[in-house]
Amino acid sequence: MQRGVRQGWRWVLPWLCLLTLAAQAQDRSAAGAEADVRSAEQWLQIVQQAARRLDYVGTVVYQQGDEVRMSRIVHIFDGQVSRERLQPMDGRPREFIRNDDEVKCLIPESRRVVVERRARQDAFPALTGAATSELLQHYQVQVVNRERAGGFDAQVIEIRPRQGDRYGYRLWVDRGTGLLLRSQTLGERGEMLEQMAFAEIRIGGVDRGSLKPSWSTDGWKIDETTHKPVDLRGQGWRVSPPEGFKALYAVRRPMPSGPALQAVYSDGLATFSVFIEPATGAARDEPMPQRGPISAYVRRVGDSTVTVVGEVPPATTRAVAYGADRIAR
Amino acid sequence: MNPEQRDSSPTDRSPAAGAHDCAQRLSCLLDGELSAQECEALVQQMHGDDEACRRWALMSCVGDALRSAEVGAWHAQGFTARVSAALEREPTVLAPAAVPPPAMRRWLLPGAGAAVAAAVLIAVGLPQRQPAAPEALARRESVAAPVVASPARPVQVDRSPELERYLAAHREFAESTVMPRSTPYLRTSSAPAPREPR
Repeated sequence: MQRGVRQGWRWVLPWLCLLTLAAQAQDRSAAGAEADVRSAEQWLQIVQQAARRLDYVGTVVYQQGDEVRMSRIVHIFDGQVSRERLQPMDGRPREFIRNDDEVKCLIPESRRVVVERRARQDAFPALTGAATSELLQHYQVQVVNRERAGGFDAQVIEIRPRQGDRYGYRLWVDRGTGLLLRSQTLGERGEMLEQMAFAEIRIGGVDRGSLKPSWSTDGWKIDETTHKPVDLRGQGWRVSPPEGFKALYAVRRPMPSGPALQAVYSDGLATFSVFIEPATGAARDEPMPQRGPISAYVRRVGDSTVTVVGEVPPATTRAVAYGADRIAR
Repeated sequence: MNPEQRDSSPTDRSPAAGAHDCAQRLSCLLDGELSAQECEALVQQMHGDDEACRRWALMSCVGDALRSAEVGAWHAQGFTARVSAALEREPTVLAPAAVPPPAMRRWLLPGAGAAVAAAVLIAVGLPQRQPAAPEALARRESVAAPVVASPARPVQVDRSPELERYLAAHREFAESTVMPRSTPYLRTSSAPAPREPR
């Protein structure tokens, strides 16, 4: 018996050493995990902040089905205003110069500048901060693995819709700065509908001069349209968006066919527009050709045409088109 | 660089046969100014003429680099060879009726930089999440086919002018919390003028 106890004591020291080591190892990994793991919600907020606040210049590859396009992007934030220059490198020469909510489209072949100004409508919530928690009600956000993207160490984040009425996303976020380096929009079966990726990017130290457009627009025609905010109900219309989609804008705007009402809805990730115009020609009730994640549906409602366009599945644009109704004023 | 144009171009321009004139004729070939017979003759002559082949590669490279630095970069060592090999393995590539005379096909490849590279980028460069899906394979073949039939034309999806109009209007407001603000413009950057002058 006594011999047995003594033998037991002989094992105490090795056991202690082992346990201490194990505990230390666990401590280290716990500390590492804490420094490493940010919640999905935090990541989304980081991405959102980075997109607005970081200065960067790079070449972005956009892929949709069979189509691949490259564009040059410059983004500069001066503490107040976010400025951007987008220079598509294929197709007809175009340039998009953005100053916060104003976008100028330069069209050299017709020496025209189309100014799109989007006045923030106080009646509607801004898509920021608070929206992230609401987003999680309709999407499952998961921090997945780490991969290299655009030459950087990136965190992969998967965003899956909780219901089939919207698409999923896969994001590659620079772990250092939070900049979105690559993103894919994914269909119901996980198939890729579109993808954008930085082929090459430089973050920080961007010269302000690189925001200057390629052409001097002296003497070009300025084509500026202001959109008049409207109240959709006041106009006799009711639109029933899927759960989680909120009204962002409702405006009266000129369209090539005449003035139209445009109401914009977003759930924080996807957006769709509802256009209401006086009907011309035969009654229609049909989907329009789908393009990548964009689907559209046209429907005649009384003497108006309702067109729903957005980055949502075809069934959703159809459902929204069918949910648009005239109401008694 | 349009095959129809090249085939139907007038033959009254008859380049001198001397080797010193090779560059001149290569330039004509690049510009699509040679007739089918002249192309055939030039290609025959270039067979085994390493100097002429090098000059052709250089001229294509310069042309592409002038058009865009990115396309120029696709002239990296061995790229053309890899693309050619990839296209060789595609049986459907040879099927379309509009394929130019066989002798020309190989010489069209280097000049087809943009279109071919686009196809290759889809096929190998940008990994898809489910690369082996049958639809994806079918689509890849349908991409490759028009590439050879009309090398200079980029692969385009069917465009509905009506949809473009709505897309242009929609992108002004399409906002996402995580995607960059320019994303809607990337989607529609090749769209026609965003708004008709009113």
